[in-house]
Amino acid sequence: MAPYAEIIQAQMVSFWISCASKAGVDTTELFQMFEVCRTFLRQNVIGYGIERCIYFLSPEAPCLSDKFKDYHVRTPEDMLTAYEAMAADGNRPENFFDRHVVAFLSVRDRAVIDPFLPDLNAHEKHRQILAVLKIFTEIQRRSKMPSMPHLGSWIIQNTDSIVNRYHDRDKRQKMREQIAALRDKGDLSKLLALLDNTTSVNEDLRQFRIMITNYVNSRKEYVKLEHDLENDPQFGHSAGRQTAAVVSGMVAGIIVIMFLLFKGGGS
Amino acid sequence: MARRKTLSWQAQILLIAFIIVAVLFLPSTLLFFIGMMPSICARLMDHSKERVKVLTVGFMNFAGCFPFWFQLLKQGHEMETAMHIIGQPTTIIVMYLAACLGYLVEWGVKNIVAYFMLQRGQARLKEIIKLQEEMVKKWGPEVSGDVPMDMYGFAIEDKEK
Repeated sequence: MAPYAEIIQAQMVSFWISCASKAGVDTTELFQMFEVCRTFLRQNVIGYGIERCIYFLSPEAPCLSDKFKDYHVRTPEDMLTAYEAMAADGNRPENFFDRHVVAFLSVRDRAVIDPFLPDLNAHEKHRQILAVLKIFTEIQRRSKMPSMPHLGSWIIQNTDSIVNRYHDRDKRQKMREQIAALRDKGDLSKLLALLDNTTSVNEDLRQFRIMITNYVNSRKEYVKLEHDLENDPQFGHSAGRQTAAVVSGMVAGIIVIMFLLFKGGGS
Repeated sequence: MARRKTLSWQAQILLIAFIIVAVLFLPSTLLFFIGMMPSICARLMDHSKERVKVLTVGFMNFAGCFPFWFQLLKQGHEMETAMHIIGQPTTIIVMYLAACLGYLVEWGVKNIVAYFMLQRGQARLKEIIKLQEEMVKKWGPEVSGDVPMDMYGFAIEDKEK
């Protein structure tokens, strides 16, 4: 598709349009569309580029991603159905989205994907997977689509990076069990509710920071105690002296009381 | 030049009161001065931080002095009686033996407590190791703070992998 990109970038179409406008045809809108395409080409992030130009210039074009070479995806709902079919066949590509898929969704249904473009472009795997799940959930919820157990199972295969955001290994284990319970349900909303819990992640991070402090304190205690045990011949003597004073006081008190009871009272 | 230690006004009042009482009850004062001599020595010779040896010895010493002081009170609390009681060898032996017992208590209890604290310290070391192992098991090696971490607390090497 590089030649097409070059044609747009070199403003060949715009030049042709400007020539056509001299012929008395209103080409303002067409001119603006290609100018917008030039701005798309200037951005290299996922969701832009020549792929976006295709879906922008051709509203009826199906998604041209290699992932859907056996499907005819014209709407986001079609896309979800195709993913479910792919998951059921076991023909699961490594990544859910590519440049075509993102550009297609962004042009066809801006609201469903644009808020998550930064996440899709992020380096962190968990952000990408969560963004994919949010997009799928939104499409499923909005279009009231039936449950998608195979797609759910496919997403679950990729949730390790999300689960591993938790430092607490017990929490990770618990989450894996909860995720496993949702494996065949196909309810993406429930899966999203389980995985996208910022409060829980923040709480885990807070606890983790407390634990770091505890660990460092315990190490300090260890070093000090070990040093004292090895180098202080008087270790424990201070407490011993104080205990001895208490014991002595008690014994003396008992002696005095006994004397008063038996000797003092008797005479 | 070392600064002279000055007593607070409360301490000065107490000292004056003590001197007055000591003079008023001179037989008792004499008996206790002689009888509690080991405690006074203990106070002077104790160079430990807590200075509690005087209490340990003093309590027992007082218990040794008490019967004779009781006897003095019963016999009219006279100076002559006090001298008579002090003059008897048994009195000094009992008083000083009691003080010795105080020293013995100090020595014995101190060593027993020190032994237990040593044991407890060693047990605590093992407990800390176990605690740290459990923390690493639950929170990962990052919890030790030895691993370079990102702002979310994950090892940077792991992330690069």
